[in-house]
Amino acid sequence: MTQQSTAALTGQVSTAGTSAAGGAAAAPPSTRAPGRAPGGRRLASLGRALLSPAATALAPLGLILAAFFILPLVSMAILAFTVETSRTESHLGFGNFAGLSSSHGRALMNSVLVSGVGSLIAAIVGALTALCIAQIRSKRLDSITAVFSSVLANDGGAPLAFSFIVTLGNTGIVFTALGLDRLGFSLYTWQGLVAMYQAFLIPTMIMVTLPTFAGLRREWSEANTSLGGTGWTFWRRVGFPVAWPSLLGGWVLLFGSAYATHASAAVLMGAGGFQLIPLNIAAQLSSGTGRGGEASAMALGVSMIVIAIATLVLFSRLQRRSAKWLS
Amino acid sequence: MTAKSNSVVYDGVSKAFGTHTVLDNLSLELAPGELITVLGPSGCGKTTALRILAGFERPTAGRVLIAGRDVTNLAPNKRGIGMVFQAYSLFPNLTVIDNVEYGLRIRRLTRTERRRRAGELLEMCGLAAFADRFPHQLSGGQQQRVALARALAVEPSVLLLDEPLSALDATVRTQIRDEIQRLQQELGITTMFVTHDQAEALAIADRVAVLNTGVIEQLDAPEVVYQRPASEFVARFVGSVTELTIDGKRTFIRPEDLTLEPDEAGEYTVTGQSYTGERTIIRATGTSGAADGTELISSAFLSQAQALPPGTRVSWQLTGTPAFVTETAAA
Amino acid sequence: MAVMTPVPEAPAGSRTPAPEAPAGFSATRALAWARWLPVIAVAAYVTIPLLCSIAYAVLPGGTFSLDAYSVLGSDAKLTNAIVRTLLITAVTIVVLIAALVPAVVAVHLWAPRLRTVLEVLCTLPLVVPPIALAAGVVAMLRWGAQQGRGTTPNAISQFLQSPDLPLILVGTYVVLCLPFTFRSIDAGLRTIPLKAIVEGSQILGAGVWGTVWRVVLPNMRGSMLFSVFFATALCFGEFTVAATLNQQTVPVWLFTVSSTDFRASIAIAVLLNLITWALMLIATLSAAREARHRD
Repeated sequence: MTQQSTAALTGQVSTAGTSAAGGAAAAPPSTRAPGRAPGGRRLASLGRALLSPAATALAPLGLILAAFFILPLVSMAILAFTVETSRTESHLGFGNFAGLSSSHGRALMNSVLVSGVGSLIAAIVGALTALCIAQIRSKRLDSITAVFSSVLANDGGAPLAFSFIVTLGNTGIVFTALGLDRLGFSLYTWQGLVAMYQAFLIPTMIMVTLPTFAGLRREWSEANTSLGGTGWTFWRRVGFPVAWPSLLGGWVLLFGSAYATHASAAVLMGAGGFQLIPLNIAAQLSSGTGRGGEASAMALGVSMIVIAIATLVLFSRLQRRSAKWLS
Repeated sequence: MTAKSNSVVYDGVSKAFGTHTVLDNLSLELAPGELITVLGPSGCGKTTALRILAGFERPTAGRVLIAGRDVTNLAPNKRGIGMVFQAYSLFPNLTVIDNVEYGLRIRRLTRTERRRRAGELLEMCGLAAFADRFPHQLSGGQQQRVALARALAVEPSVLLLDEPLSALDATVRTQIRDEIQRLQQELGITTMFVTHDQAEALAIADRVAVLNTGVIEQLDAPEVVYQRPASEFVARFVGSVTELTIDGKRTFIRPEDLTLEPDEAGEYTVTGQSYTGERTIIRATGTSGAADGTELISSAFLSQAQALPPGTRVSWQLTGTPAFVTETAAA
Repeated sequence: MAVMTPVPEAPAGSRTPAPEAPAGFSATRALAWARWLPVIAVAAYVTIPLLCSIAYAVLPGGTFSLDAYSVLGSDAKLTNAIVRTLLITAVTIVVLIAALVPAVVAVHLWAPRLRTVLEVLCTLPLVVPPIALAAGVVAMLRWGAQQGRGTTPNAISQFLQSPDLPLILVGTYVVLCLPFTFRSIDAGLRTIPLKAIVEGSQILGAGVWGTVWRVVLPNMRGSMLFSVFFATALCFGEFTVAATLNQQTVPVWLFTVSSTDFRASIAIAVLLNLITWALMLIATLSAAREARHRD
């Protein structure tokens, strides 16, 4: 049946119903209910959607998501929650998680330290920079910042680690020029990770908070001034209270981002055995042919996802609070 | 509530941004308790004039005086002005009552005194029931009333209104306009009201200053500005006008002073009528001879207008004094 | 402030309190300059490592030399890695576009209510850290392998990990691309009157997918380009999953070679970094340009 004849059959050409008619063209004629409202009944439209070519069009993507996203995560969850009691027996439970804090305590501490300190510094520097960019009020700078910060925010890969080794490593160009060894700084410690993470955490913070600062209206500061307030009054009573949910949200997002970073840390630390949750997962995966190592790697993986979800939920909630005022 | 009645003087104020002159030697005096509207098209410099008085812009030349005191170099937060912006100026994180109290808090009034004053003002603006709402829970009109209450709470020396009604819809606009006028008269506060809407400007003002490209074209009472515009620009910008060439001079006639009569041999044809209550506006277009394309705007009582349905051929008659006639002959 | 006079530059007192006296005026001007300091500092912080890398790669011992790049021709492993990565990239792009575009078009045309579901599904991979996804993939593949020789899961597991074209990486990379590319394609489709175009074209006798191919796709070139560039950047930059699965892509080769020939790894890392930045830049700009055209 051609599209034309379908359109002729239903007698609707330019109404919203036509697209549904077109959609139902390949489906059995019985699924077409003539004269349906554009809004459609929930169930009816769902049924129609399942039978229409929409389903065919959605199938490949659904398959990919199922095979390369859902299935891996399900496998991971199963392994993480399966506690082996003997060679043949196992049961579901939290047993694999129980030992994590002792066997990976050092890694957890390092991860929290690196992510906490790294995200705090980046949040402060990034927010300050975003504030300055917003105050400079240059359209060109704004768009350049938007593009570059989104590019750099995604840049936590292997090349980043190499460039930092050359710059701040033990024989690094900037390292020797500034004599950082006298300060006791080393790139191959948690401080080094903090320094390296700034390269993508700061742009992330700028990207997230620039709209907030740009959304602080000039009228608010002028109203404050005309009412006798100073710049300090404005920030204390209006500017900061309006911006802080977004700033806090940005910090939370950075924490999650730093906590999840693996590639650059792996390249930087190499086989040095530095304890960090993502590095420990990778190490257990490659060496852990024994079931114990694998199970704890999976448990760590699950814990990472939980933390990532928590930070993202918190982030979007805080963002929404600021957005309500800035709309 | 009391308010100070101060005079305001612009003394030869000029403002240029780079090479672009926005205000050119502007001199203007507001008597104590007077409400002046500054009327002009966008880009005429009216907002800049207001912002110079507020202290947000610094004049390139000239002085600004409030109550006889030179405030040209005074910081804006020391001038004690009240300002109402176009829209969205309320602090979004504060409730209505906290917004109104904002200036009082800066002036370190006690909590009870603050509450009392803010409550009084909200009462005056008819917003007592909304004290604990947040700005985003209010309509645009309510927000502007709160902004007005907030500006008045600090008993400002001058009240500045920067297009406060332009973001509101028509019905609310008249309502708030009348309210501003009532409050201003009650409090006797010197007020400068900037707008591009001529009906608004005429309705509310004691005097209207018509501004064009940085220069005041006319400063007069509303009825004078309307009936006796001082220039071609004012005649065109304020109110409806018919432009005709009479005795070789360009003549500007208000609708009330132009009468249309049915005339088979007339050069004009009625194109439409709009009923506005007491009077009806009749439009006619020249369809032949020298009149071709010329627009006539006349106002008449309904009974007269009914005799002139669209399509009627008409001729015009001057039944009043033209509002403005050019000195020199038209080109 | 729509009616404000055109102001070439925001004068003193836009955000900060205006000065008390003319003496303070120069202070605000100084403040205006001070605002550039953090911007410049951050810009320096992100560019200096790259500059150092470039210097290290092409200025060994202080003289200019491209010797480090000779590895491009001499190292067969690198050549293999590049070819493999290119292949992965090509297949990833094809699969990504072929799976995503019809799906987004379909929900826009026929099931607007499913759009939210699709959006959530496509955004979810953003929530999962790459290392966690890698762990999941390992879990899945090992489960398949453990089913024993000759079984279907085992065969699939082997097939997906084939070193020549590791489809497991292709699948994972498509998933990792989804959050960003979905948003771009969705936004691209939202700005064109898709329904009207398809309906109008149907009246003229064209089929739905014919219309999509001839009219809709050319109209969303920007978001398609974004997807292509983004996917390329991701495939050439992704380390975590590839390394965990022991697949020799370019970033993994970099890591391996860094212990023996550090200068070569830096040289290639610089190249990779610049290419990735450039690709992301082009991607972002092409998406932005399209958005501007629609306004």
